[in-house]
Amino acid sequence: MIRILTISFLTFAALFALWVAVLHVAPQPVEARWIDGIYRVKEANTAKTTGPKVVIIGGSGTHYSYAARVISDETGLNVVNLGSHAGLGGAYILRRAELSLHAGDTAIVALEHQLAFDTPPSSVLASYVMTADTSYILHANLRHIPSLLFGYSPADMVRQFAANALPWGSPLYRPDSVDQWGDETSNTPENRMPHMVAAVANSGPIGAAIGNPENPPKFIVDFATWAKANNVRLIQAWPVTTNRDAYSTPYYRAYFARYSEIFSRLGFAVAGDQSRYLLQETDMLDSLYHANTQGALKASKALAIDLCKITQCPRQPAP
Amino acid sequence: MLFNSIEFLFAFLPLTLILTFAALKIGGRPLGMMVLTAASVFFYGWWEASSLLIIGGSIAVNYTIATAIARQSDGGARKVLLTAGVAVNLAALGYFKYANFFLESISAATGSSGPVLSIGLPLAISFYSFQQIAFLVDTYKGKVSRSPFRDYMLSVVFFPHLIAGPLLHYRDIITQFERRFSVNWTTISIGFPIFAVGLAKKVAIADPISVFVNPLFLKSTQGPLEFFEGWAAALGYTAQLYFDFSGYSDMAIGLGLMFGIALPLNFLSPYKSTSIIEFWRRWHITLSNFLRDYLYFPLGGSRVGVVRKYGNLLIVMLLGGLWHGAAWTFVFWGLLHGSYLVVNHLWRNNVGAHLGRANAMLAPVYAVMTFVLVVISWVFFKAVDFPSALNVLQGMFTPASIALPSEIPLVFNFAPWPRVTWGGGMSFADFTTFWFYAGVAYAIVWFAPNAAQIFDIDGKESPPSWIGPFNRPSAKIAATVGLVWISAFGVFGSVPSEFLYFKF
Repeated sequence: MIRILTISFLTFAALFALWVAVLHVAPQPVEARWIDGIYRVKEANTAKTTGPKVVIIGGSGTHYSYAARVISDETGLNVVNLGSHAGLGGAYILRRAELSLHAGDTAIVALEHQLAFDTPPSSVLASYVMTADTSYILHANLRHIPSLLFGYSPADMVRQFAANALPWGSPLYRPDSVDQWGDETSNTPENRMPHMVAAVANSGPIGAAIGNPENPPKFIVDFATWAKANNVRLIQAWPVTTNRDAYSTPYYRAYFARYSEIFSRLGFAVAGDQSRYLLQETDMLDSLYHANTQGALKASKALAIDLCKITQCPRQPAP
Repeated sequence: MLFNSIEFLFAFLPLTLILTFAALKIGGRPLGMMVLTAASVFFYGWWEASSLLIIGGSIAVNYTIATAIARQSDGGARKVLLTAGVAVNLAALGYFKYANFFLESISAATGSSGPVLSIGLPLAISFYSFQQIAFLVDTYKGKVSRSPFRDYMLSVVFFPHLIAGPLLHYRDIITQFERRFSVNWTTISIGFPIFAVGLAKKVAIADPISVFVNPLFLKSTQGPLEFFEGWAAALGYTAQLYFDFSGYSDMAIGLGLMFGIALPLNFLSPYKSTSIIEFWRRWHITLSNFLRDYLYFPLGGSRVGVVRKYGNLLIVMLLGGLWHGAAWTFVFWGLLHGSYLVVNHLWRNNVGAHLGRANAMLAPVYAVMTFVLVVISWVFFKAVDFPSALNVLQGMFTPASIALPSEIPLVFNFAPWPRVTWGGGMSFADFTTFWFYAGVAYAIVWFAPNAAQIFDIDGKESPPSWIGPFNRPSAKIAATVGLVWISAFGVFGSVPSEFLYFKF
């Protein structure tokens, strides 16, 4: 019995070690390569910032739809954009943000709506963790570890070999288009292709699962606890999204109130009203969460004003 | 509860093994059988509690009729009881599975819009109805004597075979429960490796292939596929169905052996067949045997004239097709195989028999022909309707275009070939990944030994063993762990998918 268990364990460990080694030699998945690239640029820029800073945290909605440069200019604060990829999930995004935050900093959390809930790891997170950030497994929820370890399969790797054989021709989704504030610069209206316009037009309202603010997701509680222990100020901002008529209905108003309550109960200050962060379709790039530079300018000006209502700004933004 | 789900693998199976082990130790075989029956009912009810009454009723009615047949000495009365029993089963199957099919067919034929009944198909009804009909017939023929209800119920609900077979003869399984029913380290170490082979077939091969196959068949509902799409759809589904169903059967056999029970073999490398006759001796073997014993032989089998014999073959295969699903595509699939069998018999008797050694030399040609004919038939088996099936077949044999991903010339640095449409078919990533995967799958199908060969299983009562290089204990363990490791990607990395045969 002991012999069988020993051989089983050793075989399993050997196979797993071999797999991890292969993953680190094989080409990275396309999405993981982009995520890794933008995190490298953003974290390097954040590390260079001297003095207290304001870090905007979220998925690609934050990456595309807020412009830290605009908010910095408007408020005089040192603002950086740490938006990455919603597929990573809220738990990973907040955990990763801790590495860039220090005492005296302000964390503006603008999680896309689906990220404010405890969800199992996505294939994006599994592929990213297994190929670029394996140490995250040590910090992950115990329940999610098997999905992280086995969420990126040999079949996925074969597909990525094929995807990596093609040169990346699009001006979008390139780490080199991220500027020194961590903002995306390629999301100009000129780069908006017809299929992107159609994708935005065909998107319905966000899915609004009414969460329970009295029982918030553990990863948000953990982040709030960590921030308080490390003297990091917490602000909840609204994820920028395309306007839809449904958002003015009582159902969605109740949902947005609860979304906000999840954060406010944990000590987050709330930056403004959700309705100020709804953009027209012409302000969007390729999805209901991704603004183009024109939309990002509008959302960032709104955030600058709302930010200065709840925090001291060296400069008052233009109304 | 799916065999490939986390709740089955990490909760139901270990708990059932532990509880059955404890029950056998404490109360012997009767208590062990009770625990296993309760676990099996839970297994079924977890999935579809609403159907528990139906399966319960079916078991009770069949047991009552079988008992009445066994008690009755008058031949005429026995026959009446048997007829009533078979009719009850067919009526239940007809109502739950075929009522809407017949109503829709009548509506289509008359051009009217008839009623549609709101009937859900109870899980596994085709399997347990068929098996219980066999039990009634065996009781009528005196092959089975009166049995305790406890034994009969377990023979039907025993969870490894309940949902999708293998189809069992009552006498074969119950004698094993009397002689070999046990749970211990040895039974688990015998059964688990076979279960692991099945799990790997399902989650590491069938499920990844289905990712490509399903969108292609969906596309076929809109119009003809191009050449590579057509072949990818047909070959992909051929591989998917084999690895899915034979994987399920291996898992069932492995699970049975964990309780000391040897379930019959269901697959023996069917795609290596050199004739359709041979194919049906290697594919879904227990269904073929049931159709032969309970339909083909009663119809007269091959003891009647040539014309009736071939007519019987067509009837059996047509009904076999209908058993798989309530749709005309399944009926046609059955008829197609019936026709294949008739032609195969005619060729064998009238041509092949006179070819002498040349016939043996033609084996590779026969094998290719058999495989292609089977692939064509699976298109009808999978497609939602005839136009979709024809759209796939058109892509395979008379394509309007032969399309390759436009990125191929760029990646491999060559000038695009004329007469090939560059782009418009499968994407570059799908194309390369699918054909790589299909290559691996068919290498296993044609060149690897099957589970019966690896484990030296005969499907009877003798315990399986390992053969060849895997006969060394450490090699056995390492191979099993390797299968578990590769399966873990499918178990943890995605939502468990249903086995294809569960819907039949």
